[in-house]
Amino acid sequence: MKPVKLTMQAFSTYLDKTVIDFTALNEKGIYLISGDTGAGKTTIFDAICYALYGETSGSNRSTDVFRSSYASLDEATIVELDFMVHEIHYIVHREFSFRRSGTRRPDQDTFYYEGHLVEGKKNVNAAIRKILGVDSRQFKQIVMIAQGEFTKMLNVSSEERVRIFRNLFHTQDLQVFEDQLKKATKGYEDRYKTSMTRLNTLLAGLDMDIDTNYSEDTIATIRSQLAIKKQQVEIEEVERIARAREDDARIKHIYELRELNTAIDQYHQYIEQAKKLNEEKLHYQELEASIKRLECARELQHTEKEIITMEEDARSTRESLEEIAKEMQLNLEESAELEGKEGDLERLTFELEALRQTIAQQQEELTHQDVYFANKKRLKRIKRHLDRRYERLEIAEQSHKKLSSHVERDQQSVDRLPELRVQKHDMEVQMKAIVDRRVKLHELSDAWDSYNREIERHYELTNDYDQAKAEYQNAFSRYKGEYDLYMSQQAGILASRLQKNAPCPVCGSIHHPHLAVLTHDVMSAHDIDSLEQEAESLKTRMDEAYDALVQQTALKRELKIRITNMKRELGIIEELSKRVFIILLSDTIQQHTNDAKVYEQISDEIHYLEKLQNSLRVNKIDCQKMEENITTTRNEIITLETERATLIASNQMILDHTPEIETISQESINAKRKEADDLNREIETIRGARQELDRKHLVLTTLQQQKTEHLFDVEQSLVGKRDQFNERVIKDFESMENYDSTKRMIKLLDDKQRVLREYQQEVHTVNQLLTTLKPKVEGKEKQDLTKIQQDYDAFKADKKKKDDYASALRYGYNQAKRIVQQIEQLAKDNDKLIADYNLYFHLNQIVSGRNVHKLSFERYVLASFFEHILDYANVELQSLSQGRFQFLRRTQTKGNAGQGLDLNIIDFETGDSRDVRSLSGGESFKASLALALGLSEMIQNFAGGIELNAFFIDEGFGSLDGESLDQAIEVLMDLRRNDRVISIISHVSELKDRIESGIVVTRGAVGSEVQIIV
Amino acid sequence: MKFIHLADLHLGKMLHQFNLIDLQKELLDQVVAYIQNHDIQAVVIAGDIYDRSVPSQEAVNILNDFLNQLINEAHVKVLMISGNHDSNDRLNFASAILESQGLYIETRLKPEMSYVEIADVRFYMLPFFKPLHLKHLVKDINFTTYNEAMAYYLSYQNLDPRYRNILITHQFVGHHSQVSDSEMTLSVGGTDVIDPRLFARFDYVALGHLHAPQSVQRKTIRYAGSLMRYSFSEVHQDKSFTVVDTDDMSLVTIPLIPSLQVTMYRGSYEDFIEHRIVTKNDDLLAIELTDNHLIPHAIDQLRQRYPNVLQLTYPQLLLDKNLHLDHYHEVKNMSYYELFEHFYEDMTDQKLDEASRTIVHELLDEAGGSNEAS
Repeated sequence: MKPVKLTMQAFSTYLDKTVIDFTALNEKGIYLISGDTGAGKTTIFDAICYALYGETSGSNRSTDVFRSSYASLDEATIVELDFMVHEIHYIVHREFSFRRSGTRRPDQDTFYYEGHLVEGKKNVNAAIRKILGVDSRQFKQIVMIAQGEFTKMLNVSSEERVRIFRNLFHTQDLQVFEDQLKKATKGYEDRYKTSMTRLNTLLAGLDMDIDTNYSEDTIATIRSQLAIKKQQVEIEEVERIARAREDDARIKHIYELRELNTAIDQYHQYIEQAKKLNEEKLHYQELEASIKRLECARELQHTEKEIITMEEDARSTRESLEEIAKEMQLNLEESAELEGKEGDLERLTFELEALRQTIAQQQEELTHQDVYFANKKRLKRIKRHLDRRYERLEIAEQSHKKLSSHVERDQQSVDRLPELRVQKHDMEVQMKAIVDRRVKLHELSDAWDSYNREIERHYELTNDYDQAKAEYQNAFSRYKGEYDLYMSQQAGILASRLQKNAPCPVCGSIHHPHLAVLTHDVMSAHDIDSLEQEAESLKTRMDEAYDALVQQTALKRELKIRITNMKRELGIIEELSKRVFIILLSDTIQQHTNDAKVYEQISDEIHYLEKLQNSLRVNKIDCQKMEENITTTRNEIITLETERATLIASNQMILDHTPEIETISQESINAKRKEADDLNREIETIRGARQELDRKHLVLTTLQQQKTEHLFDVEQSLVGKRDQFNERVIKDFESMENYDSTKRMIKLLDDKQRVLREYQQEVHTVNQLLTTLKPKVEGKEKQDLTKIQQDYDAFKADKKKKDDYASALRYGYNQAKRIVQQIEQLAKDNDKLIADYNLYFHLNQIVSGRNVHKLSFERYVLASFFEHILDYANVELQSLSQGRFQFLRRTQTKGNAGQGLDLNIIDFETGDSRDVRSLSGGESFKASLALALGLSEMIQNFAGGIELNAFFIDEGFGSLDGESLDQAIEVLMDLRRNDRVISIISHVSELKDRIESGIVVTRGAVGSEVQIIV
Repeated sequence: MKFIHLADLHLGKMLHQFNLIDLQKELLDQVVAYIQNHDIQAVVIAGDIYDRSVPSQEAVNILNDFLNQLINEAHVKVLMISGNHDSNDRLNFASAILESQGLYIETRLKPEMSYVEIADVRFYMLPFFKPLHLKHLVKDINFTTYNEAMAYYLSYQNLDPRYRNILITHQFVGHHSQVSDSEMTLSVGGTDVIDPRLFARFDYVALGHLHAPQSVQRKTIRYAGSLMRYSFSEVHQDKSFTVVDTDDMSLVTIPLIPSLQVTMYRGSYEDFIEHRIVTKNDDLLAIELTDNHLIPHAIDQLRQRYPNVLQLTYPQLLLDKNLHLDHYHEVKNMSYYELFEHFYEDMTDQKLDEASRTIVHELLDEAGGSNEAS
């Protein structure tokens, strides 16, 4: 967790909105928060703590204390922290304020990261807690060493350490494991107890003489007991079988005797019966005779019935014959009637035919009507088309004419174009010539002006020269004069200088007879030289003037020549003068102007004509199009006219053929059709009736014949049958009366037959039984079974008793056997159970800490972690204490299994290890710093995902002397590797010198202010 | 002319809470004695005059006496610069006034180096500075390393080759110098090394900061070394001060031997008790006991014989690290299964049997599965 940006408002001493950007400071790795007491240094930590957990850093500051006392009621206290964990930015925003009445408004806490927004204090707290991985207490203990509390980590109890580490290193699983093991062990214990109880119960249930407490030999004992039982059972079984056998034998014997007795009785019975039957024999013979007679009567009855039937038949046949005759008569009458109608038949048929023809004809004409009307319609349309076209044609022709004339006219104009072009060109040339001339005129004028100027100058130069010459001559003569004078005087000077008898510098003679005499004032040589120089310069000037003159003369001459040439070129004869120039120029200009005008005119016309040429082209095309158009229209007209003629002709033809073509319609045809149908129907009816009558007649005739024949047959048979009947009656019954009376008794026939049958059967049966029984019974006599039965009953009772006993014995044995099996099984399970239980028990003891080192498994693991932490811490402590102190995990095992994470300090100087609480203030600080660093290092390296790479130390350095301070700072500087950031609050001035970057907190008039120095 | 090159006095330093001030006074007196017997024109002190930015009263007094002796009695000029231990501002007190007396103090980084001219020698005084100090002078450039900063700064300095140009500065120069514990790291990350070739233009560079007397790259780029041994990592260094003759740039080193020497001895407790090792009993000692176990009250016993035992360590034991059950293995890399095996062995001195292992694994899996760790 690295803070990136902190914003505070109305929070403790920070009234105004204060933003602290930690980015630059984080880069430095270590920075100092300095400022006067009470300026608000620790408040920064409080703010961070509060932002993360909703609580404070130290334990003795509550949240409401944060509310800035300067803030007005409706100003919200806001703390917002932007921090980074695992490279992800998180922003937590906490805000609270008061309503006017002084009650607190609900907190508005929000937490934002990577697109997720969490709201509400609880949720925010939970989310942050999850991300940081530690709760506020642990956070403070690991990451912050708050003012006055740095020894907490050092002095905390072993229990508390366990809790902290458990959370940090996620050994909750091990706790669960321990619990599970304990539970499992207890489970096994219970099962074992249950098993034992069951065994004992079963043992008790065994009906044996044994100790009902299960032990090792129990199994053997019960097994042997069981075997004994088995033996007993077997013995009994043998006896039981014997008894059963005897029982069977006895029963069989009794049964046989009984059987015999019965048979004897039966035999006698049957004899009696046979006798009886015999007595009745006669009766039954009579019965038989009567039956026979009745049967005959029945037969005759049948015949009688037949006769009746036949008579009936004959009668009905006669009746039908009569009816047939009647019908035939009717038929004839009807036929006669029909003939009348048949006369009409021919006429009707004829009528029908004619009607049909008419219909057909009209139908055909109807189709013609369609064509006729169609043609008419078309004609109408054609007319319309034609009208339109004529109109169009007229318009087109008109416009065409107009356009053609236009085109012609334009063409004439355009034809003039080439000529105009030529004119234009000529004009151009001419104009150019004029311009040239004008230019030349100007040139000439300029030349002439120059020439004039030169003439003037010539005068000047001549004057100059003359003057110069004069001056020079003057100067020269003056100079000459002075020079001569000087020279002449030289002698005088020389002479004046000459000394007697001194050699003359000129001639060398010593005598100086004629001494020259100074006459005038002489100029000095110097002056004479100047004169000479002056004269020289004047000469130079004169020469220059002369040169100039000469030059100019040449120039003048040149000009003159030029002018003459030009004049010739331009054709000017007059003498040149200003006036002449003016006249010439004005002429030229005038001409030029005129020419220009004409030129312009021509140009315009040409331009216009060219445009016209274009439009002409277009118009010509249009003209052509129009012509085409006209031709097309004409053709169309022709086509239409042709068609029209054709149609008219066709319609006329139709009309000629069918004058009433316009009047015929489908309805009239349909009416005619209907008529035809009616007619047809009538004809058919007549014909049908005729056919019917004829058929009927035929049928009747046939039937009549049949019936007649049939009647004859029947009457014949009847006679025969009657005779037959009478014969038989006489034969079997002698008279009709007998027969009749016998007839009445036919219904008794069936019963009689049945009775007879029964009797016969009975007789048969009895005879057979007698035959069977006779051999069995012959010579034997009935016996008295009472005694035997009694004996048997007694025996049976006894047997039952004995059998029951045996059965009970067996049952008992089986029971016992089952129980023994159960016990054996249970015993086996029990043994296994004991083994498992022992295993679990043993493990549980060890895991829960009841072992030689009094360490539970979890504590063992935590202790290992602790060892690692101490390893890291010792590295720091060694530097901090210059090799004097080392951490040591206390392993003395006194008391219960609550050990394992206690801390001692080894002092190398005194060579013993003592409790960490015995260190001095400064030493404590170093130790707790080392421990905190060690813990932090461990957490960083442990793959638990918790990233706590910011480190806050609030004071504590004041308790260190100079050397210790050096060491501490070295250690801290060294920590900046691994992306760690260390913030120190201290007012120790040495630190200010050593650590440049930081935050300076000052107490302003209203609230604190921060300044970040990087 | 000849001058003395001193550096790293660290006046007022405490070594394991033993006040070295008296020894420091001794040694400074030795320097003064030398000057009184030789022809020296100047004393150059190349930084780290005091040990702390706010020096103790005694330290101030000592320096006061020393300077007094040098300037008022021996009449030599003194040139001092501040080092990384000194507080620039405090050391700078009255420097302008003191100049007139021959005491030149330079603690500020100026755009142009100031120099003191003595005879034909120019002493350029460049106090200790960090790259960011240079940034205050040269606004636009960001110096990240000391080397960059120094190179930049020196490139703007003009030297007159007609004089002997001597640079006095306090920095970490050269790569293979001897470093000891008592030199504080100048900055993070070791980017404080300066290439000695930057000083090619100077005839002599009087360096301060490293405590071992040594030359870097050439004889005339030299650390004078500290006044005495200031940590137990320096016990093999023989301290001295350097006398430089500017006529031929030759050097002489004069040893500095305090009455109490800082030394380290190693031996068994027995050896020490029987006086078998230590030559001078009242030396400032760091004792390394080779015994394999802690000797109770060793320090008291030893102090009875050697009153100035400052540090007591057991190197053997530090190597072992474990004074306890040594079955604690790399916890973080082990699975709970492995941990349990070790745990079981440690508790029962037996290996975990197969049946128990099965049970344990099962329960551990359950515990791990049912409990979703955060």
